[in-house]
Amino acid sequence: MHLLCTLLLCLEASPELEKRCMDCHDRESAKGQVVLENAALSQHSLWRRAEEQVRAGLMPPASEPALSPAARTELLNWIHQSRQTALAAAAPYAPNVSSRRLNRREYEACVEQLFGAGLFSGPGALPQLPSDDLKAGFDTIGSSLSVNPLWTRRHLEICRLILERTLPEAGKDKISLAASTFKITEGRGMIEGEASLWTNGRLATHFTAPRGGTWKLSLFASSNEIGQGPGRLRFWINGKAGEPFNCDASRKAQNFDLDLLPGDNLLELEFLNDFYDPVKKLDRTFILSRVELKSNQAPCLAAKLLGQADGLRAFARLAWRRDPTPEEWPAFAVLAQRAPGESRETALRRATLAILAAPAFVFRLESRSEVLSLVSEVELASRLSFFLSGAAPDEPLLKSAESGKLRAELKTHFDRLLDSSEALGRNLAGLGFGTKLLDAWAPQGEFAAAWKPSLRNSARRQAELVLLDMIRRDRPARELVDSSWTWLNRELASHYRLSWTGGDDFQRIELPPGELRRGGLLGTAAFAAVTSRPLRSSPVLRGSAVLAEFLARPPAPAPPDAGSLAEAGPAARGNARERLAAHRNKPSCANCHRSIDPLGFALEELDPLGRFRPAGSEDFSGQLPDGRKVQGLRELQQVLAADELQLRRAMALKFFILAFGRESTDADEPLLDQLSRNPTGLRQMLWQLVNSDAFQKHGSR
Amino acid sequence: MLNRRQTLAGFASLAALPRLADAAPAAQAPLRIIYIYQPNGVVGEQWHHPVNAGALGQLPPSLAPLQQLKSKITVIRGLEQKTAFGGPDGAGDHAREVGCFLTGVRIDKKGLRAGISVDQRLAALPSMRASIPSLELGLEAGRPAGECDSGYACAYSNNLSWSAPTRPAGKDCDPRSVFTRLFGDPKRLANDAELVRQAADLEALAPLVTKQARGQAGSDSLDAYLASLEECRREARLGSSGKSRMSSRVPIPEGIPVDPREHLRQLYRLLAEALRLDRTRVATLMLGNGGSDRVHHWLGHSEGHHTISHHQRDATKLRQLAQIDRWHQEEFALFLQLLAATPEGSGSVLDHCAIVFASCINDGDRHDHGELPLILAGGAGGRLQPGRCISRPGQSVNSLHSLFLSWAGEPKPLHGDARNLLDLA
Repeated sequence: MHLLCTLLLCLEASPELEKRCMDCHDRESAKGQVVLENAALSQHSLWRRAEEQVRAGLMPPASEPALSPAARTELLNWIHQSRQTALAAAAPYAPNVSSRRLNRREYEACVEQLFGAGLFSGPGALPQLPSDDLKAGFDTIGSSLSVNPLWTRRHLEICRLILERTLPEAGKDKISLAASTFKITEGRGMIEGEASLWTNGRLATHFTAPRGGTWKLSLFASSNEIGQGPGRLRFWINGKAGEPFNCDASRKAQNFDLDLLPGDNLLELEFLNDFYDPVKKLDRTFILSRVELKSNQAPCLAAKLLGQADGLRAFARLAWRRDPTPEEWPAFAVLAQRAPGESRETALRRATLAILAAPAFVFRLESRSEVLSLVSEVELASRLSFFLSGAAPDEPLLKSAESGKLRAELKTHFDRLLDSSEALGRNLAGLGFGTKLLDAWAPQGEFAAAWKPSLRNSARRQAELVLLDMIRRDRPARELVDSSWTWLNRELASHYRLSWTGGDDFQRIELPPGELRRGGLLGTAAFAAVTSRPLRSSPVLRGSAVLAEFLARPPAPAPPDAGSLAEAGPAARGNARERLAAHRNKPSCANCHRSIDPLGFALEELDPLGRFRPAGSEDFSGQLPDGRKVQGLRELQQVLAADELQLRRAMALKFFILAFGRESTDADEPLLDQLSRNPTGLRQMLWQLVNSDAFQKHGSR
Repeated sequence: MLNRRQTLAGFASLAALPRLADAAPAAQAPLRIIYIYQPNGVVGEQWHHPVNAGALGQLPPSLAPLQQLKSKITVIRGLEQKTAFGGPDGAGDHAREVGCFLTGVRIDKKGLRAGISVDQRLAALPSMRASIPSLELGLEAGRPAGECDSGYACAYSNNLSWSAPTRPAGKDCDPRSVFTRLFGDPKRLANDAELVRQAADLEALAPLVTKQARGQAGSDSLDAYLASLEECRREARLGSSGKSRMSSRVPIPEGIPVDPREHLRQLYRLLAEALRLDRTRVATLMLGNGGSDRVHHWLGHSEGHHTISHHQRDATKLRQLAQIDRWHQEEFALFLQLLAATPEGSGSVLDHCAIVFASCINDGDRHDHGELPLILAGGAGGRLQPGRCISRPGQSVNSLHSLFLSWAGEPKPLHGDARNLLDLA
């Protein structure tokens, strides 16, 4: 410890300890690029890592004699206390936030808030923006959210398409299809003014719908009365059959609801019950005069606003997450004025496009301050909303901020957003624990058949629900690795070979005492899959993921010539264990693999799809760097659960990047330390973060 | 021209500058410069031309698909990209293999800073100006979660082209979107009024957007947005004047094909068509992102490219890697044949192109950035005498970039750490 003291605080030094650390971590040797010599205590990250490494038994390395228990305790105490003193003395830190473009998911959420849900998926989906370049595994880092012509071109294209759908030219939300536009594609008949079918058959037409969704179809048609009951018909829309219905001689309009695709649609009318009796001279004929279609969709928020007299400004306020200023607004308003011969819709589309192309929509803009001070409540509303719900502030939040009540009502909005939006759970699972990788993960061989799309979706959903629930119910971070509950649906329960009495849908269940391995995230199919190769589970990927994602101690990247393990079956995996052992004997690999491998071996109990390998089929044991032995997943869960500080730190780091859009620096360590140290649940951790200087203020130098 | 000569006069390599450059009939058949990038390196024994210099004979196994085209290609051996070596930055060779290759500078591990890439410099030169300044194409979108490489921003692994040191140019992976940009929206080919209105809308909103942006404290991404909007405006003006609608011979793509082979062929076809119609004179194509772990199912592989590239001399892995290398050359050969079969001037389109096919890692197991695998296809409008292997051990690949810049008329052609123009005589 004295090594540290001598250098830092000029306290009494112990020659032995100084020698132990400083041989390698003086300026000259700088092993692992770590220099403790003359390192100021304000280098919070450096000293935190030093403490973590000693505590985990990684320093001194295995190649050196171990510290005696007394020396270890003394050293740890010294670092710890010195760190705490330095952290307590640190100035509050809340830097100005530079303009950051919306990332793809925020952009889509903002568009859907205004123009209706589900626009970016399913048939007729809008095109997507190019994918965002990640940094540190997240899509929120401002410096990586760059803009190029490809991005802007796509953005404008998306806006034009939405506006065409939302503000169609007057009359374009009605389509009239005369009988003459149909063709007889099956059966016999004639089209002349009206379309007649003399036998069972079909009439078909292609037409263009300005927007998708539900349309009201009015059918003007008849079949002649022959005393044999009414005619039977059915619609086919884009190859999908509707329910048969009756059609009598009355020629009265009949109404139906149909789902159309935006753009080209194929509408067919099928005549099902031709009747012909030459003796009685009875002949049923179907006659179509016309079809009318009218969009039936409930208007979205934007359509409602823009339908009102002063709606453009109200729309801009929501799109920009703030009221337009008196200086900037007139120029936008003027765009909505109609040129001679121009329709109201055309003019409105032009103005609306300008609002969506404006930086206030595309970017998250904040004012800057020269001194540390509170951000405005309107800015705070955006910070809160993008963090907790992944989207722009809704009306209640914006209103609260505009009337200056947000700081007073913060808890209400905090609770409301957390409980109404799943975005945070989705982002934590998808980015923080990598379940987004499941989309592209394609297992091979024996695993391919079992990994159905529905199972993949269930696996991803389970991870999201577990994390969401941990936050909402304020569960401690320890339950990430060790808990007595999880979320399951019928499909997953069967995949996990658990008895299931519930329905098809997800529900939270208490695990039977013998199945605690399924609690937390480690025993989930999602975790097992994202840490596997196509043909095998990977102890190295798994061990590294535990260190990086759960314990906030990511191992250093492998040196390039390290090589990787061979693929395939149990024999090769046994072999893998030997090869890893050889690996640990290489000095350049040893120190990381001492940490990685035992975690990975315990997790080998799970196959790539998260099914348990039979007990005793392989060796699931390993020895941690501090000497403890771990056998299988259950023991690993318990060992990890004891490391609450690191589990909380891992969560705090993920929250930090999602909240602030940057990687943490030394100046953020006091906040991160505070968040990791408070023995609260995750909801409380979030509340603490939302009340921190960094979240509430700006202007630090 | 005088300026350029004066600038270059001090360099020893001036003598090597092909005189033909000045004589090339630029107005008729413009020079085009294309970079095609393969990640993860190659299997050297099967890829590198066994002969150091001289006329090309029997090509090595991985290059065999180019055998018929050997009179159209130049194999350049020995080039290196020094800026991609780890040095003080340590691990991260797959971020650097892409981030450094065309920028020629060291990249910043903490934040986001590379340099302007050679293709973007070329695209800004008058002689390379076509209605679309440059195309940036790729087969792989960025990864959706996780680290890309050793703490580097994923932007490095994902972007070969950089329009400014902090601005990756992005890349379009969607053939339909590329088609639309090159030849106009296939659905709207007839609707002139709509295109005119779109252009007018952009003219109307541009000053408002600019004014709102100027009200904000300086920010690079806001500036980038304004610049990109300006580019969209320029394209819309061209579009509304009817100049962006071309009748192309390429079938209209549906979107991103599920099969990567079809995906690549569509991109190659679009690129070939863009060159034929002189829509653009500069392009980059990324066959994968840095460290790509794409699984080549159709070659019978079950592990990803990057995973097997750490082959440790394992025979199976080496064989699989060589299969990938060869497959890439098969597709590349089809692309070259397309260009060779398209007449232009007194020769073909290929005769007026300089197409680099390269990786910025030699051996994927060792991550080294020297002795780069590099083929230069085409005649560059008479500036090249293909059909040869040229050995330039220890020369920087940036000197090749610089040579291109000088061909295109850049008065200060030295790029990255280049100290001279590469001598291809």
